[in-house]
Amino acid sequence: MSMQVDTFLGYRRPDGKVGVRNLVAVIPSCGCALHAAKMIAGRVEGAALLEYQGGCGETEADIALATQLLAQYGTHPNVVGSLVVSLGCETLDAEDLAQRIAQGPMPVELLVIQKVGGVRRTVERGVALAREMLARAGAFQREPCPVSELTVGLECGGSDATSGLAANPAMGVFSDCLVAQGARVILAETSELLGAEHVLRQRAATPEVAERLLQTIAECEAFLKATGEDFLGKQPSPGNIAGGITTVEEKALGDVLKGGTSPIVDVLSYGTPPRKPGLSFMDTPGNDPASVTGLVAGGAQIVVFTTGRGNPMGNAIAPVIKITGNAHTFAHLEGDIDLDASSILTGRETIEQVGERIYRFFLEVASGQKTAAEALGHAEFLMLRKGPIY
Amino acid sequence: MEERLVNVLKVHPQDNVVVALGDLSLGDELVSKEGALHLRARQPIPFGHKVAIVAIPKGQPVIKYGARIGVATKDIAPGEHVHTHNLVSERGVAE
Repeated sequence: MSMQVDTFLGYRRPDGKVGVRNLVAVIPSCGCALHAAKMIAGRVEGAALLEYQGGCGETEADIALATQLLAQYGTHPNVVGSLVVSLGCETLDAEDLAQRIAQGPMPVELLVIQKVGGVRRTVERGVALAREMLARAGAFQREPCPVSELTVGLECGGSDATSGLAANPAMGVFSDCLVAQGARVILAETSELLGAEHVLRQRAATPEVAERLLQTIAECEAFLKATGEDFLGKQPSPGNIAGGITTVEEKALGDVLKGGTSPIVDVLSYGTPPRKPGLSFMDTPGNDPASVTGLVAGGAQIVVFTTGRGNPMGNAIAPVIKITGNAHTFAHLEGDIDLDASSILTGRETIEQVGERIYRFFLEVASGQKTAAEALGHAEFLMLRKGPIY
Repeated sequence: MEERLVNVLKVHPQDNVVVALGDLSLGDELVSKEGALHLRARQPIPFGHKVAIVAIPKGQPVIKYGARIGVATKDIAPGEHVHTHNLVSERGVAE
């Protein structure tokens, strides 16, 4: 790659971080406050609802993880202010959540339905507060920022045989471009790597990283086996199988190409921000909304997502760019997918050319251009939960 | 060399399967960009699905991307569709 520093037009926040969108996060602290939060977000253009449904009757570990990750959303650089909407009797400590967000650069307000006096008053107050936050955020102007300010999540979903042959290898070229610029890139989806361990071992920057990668994958396999169920029908999914992917190993060998050729410098638990520039691996599930929720919690301002069968999903606060190597999917699911990488299979473009095309489009999205998922209003959010609901 | 439409992709030189680049019909001759494989499809093969290019005996690995993607559950003949009916994962199987 060239040594030139590539830039995009981003919003520089008071803490020095750079956002690519200006959104107010509306954060219910439990499932019972979700409806009020949804009503607020539905009435304010620029408000993003985090559809959190837990907060009560869960394990301490799940509540602690949710509190941490919701706080990371509240302090995410794409967020210009947060409204925490609490019911008032839930286990999750909404005041603690609001205090954690207050340690970030942007304002936060806590509305407790049982204190404010019902849903209607809460919504009325919440709408006014969200509008105020957005009005103040109008002071942020986009300015040139280096690509090294970006954290980018790599995801694939609804894969078919074209994913491993076209879209994922092209995303690998794109990922290498980001790493060369000093960005933080996150590869994820542990359950989709069973069978690609030999590739990951070679790609690990140190023996210690290799050890942690293999251990993470082994734990995932053990976790699944303990349920007494087989992977087939889950990894790969019925759609993957219809699309020509027979086994999880085959899926993994195509999946791992997303990360290009850069060394893997670190292994992160779900939702943990990368500690260093370069390519990190995050332990996320193969479930796409839950995986992307973790990538964005980890600070990804943008997620890039390859698909074969066609997956339209987005994220509450981060643009998600869609790429497919399946020409039929691109044409048939008109408006759901941003980029067509099928030219690699017909020989009209090389993997490198498509990778560079992804990179150029990515810079436009970072500078404000809406993705197909954003234009459709996609705003998925699914918090990982490991334990039962009591 | 005779010009023929490329209809399969060999992902890695060591692979014992290739991938259909379009829907293949029974009897279609398989042609990769390296040239004719002198082999015909023994069944219709959907786009993106795999075709064996050598005999793969039951219990032997199926190789794609130059790596094991599972083992054959039946003897597989060259030109045969390779999928869930004759290939099984070695991973994530309940004990």
